[in-house]
Amino acid sequence: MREQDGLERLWEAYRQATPEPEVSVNFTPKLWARIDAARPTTWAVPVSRWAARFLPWAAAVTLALGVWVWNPSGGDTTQSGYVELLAADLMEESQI
Amino acid sequence: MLVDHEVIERAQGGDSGAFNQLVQAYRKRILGTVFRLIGRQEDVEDVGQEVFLRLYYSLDQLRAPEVFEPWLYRLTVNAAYDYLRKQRRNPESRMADLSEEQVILADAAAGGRLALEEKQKGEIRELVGALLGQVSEEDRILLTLKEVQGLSLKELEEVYQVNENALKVRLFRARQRVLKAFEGLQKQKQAV
Repeated sequence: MREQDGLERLWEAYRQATPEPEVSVNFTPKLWARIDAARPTTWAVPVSRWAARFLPWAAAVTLALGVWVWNPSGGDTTQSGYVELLAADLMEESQI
Repeated sequence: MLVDHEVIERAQGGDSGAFNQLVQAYRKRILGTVFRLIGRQEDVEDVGQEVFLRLYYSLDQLRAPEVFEPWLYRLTVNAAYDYLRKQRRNPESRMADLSEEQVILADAAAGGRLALEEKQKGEIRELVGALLGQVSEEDRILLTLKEVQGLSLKELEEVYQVNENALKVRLFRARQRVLKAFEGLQKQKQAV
């Protein structure tokens, strides 16, 4: 409880010790310079709007192409090719 | 409210003069809040400008002029939070600046009564800085807004966009943690 009171007094003293600071004359001009620097360029706005509209279409086309290209037996072909190559290699080695 | 709703609406419509009016009206209050939140005089204007920069580019998202002040406080909290997180990643610079501040305080102490008062204020700022340095950025910001800035629960609800009960729980926990840190500091002080 004593600590609680001490803390309350400390907050009060801190309020007194931190008055609102004076604002420098350059505050607003510097702020406007930062606003201008952060302003998007004129061509960036339509491009970003176009990109936002294009994105779902691009995702849909990618997905459709993915489904179309996907071949479930592809893995087996690769595996059999590898096995055949390995067998041929072993045959060669045994002949030597 | 320090400005009319009409000024806010004009600023929302892209009127630079109206936006300047907003900056003029609120900059002192925002800089004061920023100083209390971050505790470093030399970075106050930079963080304050960041707040108004974010305000400029997000004004169109403000749903009603009535909630302008909590909105501005929320931007202030977010900018201060980002700053504090960045500072936590570079603790060395903070230490270096602190010792510089101590040198300035020592110089000021060489003066008269005014300097003594300033020294005491500096010690209080340092003590609170040390205390808040022991809790998280979230606790630091919440407690500063409640205990130092004196924001009401209703205002804090708008700033944090949470209900009263959730806010009370957060406040209770933050107070417990800072009280624990305060007890620790008191014990350290008594031991010295």
